[in-house]
Amino acid sequence: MDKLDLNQEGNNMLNRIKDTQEVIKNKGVKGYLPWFFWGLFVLITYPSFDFIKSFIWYIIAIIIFIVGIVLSYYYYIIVNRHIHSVSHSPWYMSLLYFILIAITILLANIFQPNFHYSWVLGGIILAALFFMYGFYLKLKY
Amino acid sequence: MDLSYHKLDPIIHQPARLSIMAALAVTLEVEFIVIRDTIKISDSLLSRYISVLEKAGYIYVRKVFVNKRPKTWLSLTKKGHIAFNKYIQDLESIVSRKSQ
Repeated sequence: MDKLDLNQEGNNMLNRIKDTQEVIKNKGVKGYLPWFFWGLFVLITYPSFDFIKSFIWYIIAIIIFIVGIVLSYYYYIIVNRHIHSVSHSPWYMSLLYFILIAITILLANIFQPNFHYSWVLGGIILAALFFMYGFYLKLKY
Repeated sequence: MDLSYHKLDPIIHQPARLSIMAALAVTLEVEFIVIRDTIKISDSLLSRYISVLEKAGYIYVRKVFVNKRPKTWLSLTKKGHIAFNKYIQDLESIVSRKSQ
C-alpha cells in the first residue's frame, strides 16, 4: 500500500465518521425547531394586539398557543422515541421562556395605555430571544 | 508498510465499530434498530460488534421492555468518549502527516 492509499484510507475513515453522525443527527430531534415556532408565534400574535381589539382574535391566539404547546411536546416525544438527542434544551429553559411570555404579556398590558406600540415592542424583543436561543441550539448541535 | 495506523485503537479501528462509536458520540442514547438501519448490517453482526465494544467498556447497553416488547438502548460510556476522541485525534494527525 503506498502513501496515497494510506492517506485515502484515513480520509475514508474520517468521512465515515462525519457521514454517520450526519445521518444520526438528521434522524434525531432538531431541538431548535420549537424555538423558531415560538419566535414566529410571538412575532405574529403580539403586535396584532396593538391593532386588533377583537375578542375572537384573542381566542384564536390562545388556541394557537395551546396547539403550539401540544405540538412542541409531541414533537419531542415522537422524535425522541428511538434517539435520545443531545440537542434537547433543558427543561428550565422552557420554563424560563414561558415566564418571559407571561412577563411580556403583563408589561405590554400595563404600558399599552401610555405607549401604543407596547405589544409590537414586546413581540419583537421576545421573538428575538426565541430566535437567538434557537440559533444557539442549531449551531451547537 | 506504514505502521502509524497500527497505533490506532484496534477496537474502534474497524468500519462498523467506528460507525457505531461515531453515532453514539453525538447522542445521549440510541436504540439498537436505529444503529442497525444507519450502518446497514444484520442484527446478529451488530450484536457481535456491540459485545466487543461493551467488553472494552466503551458502550453501555440498556435493555427495557415497552408494551412487553424488548428495546435495546446503546450509549457511549465516559471511557468510550475518551477513546473515540483520542481515535479521531490520532487519525487526523496521521492523515495530516501523510498529506504533507
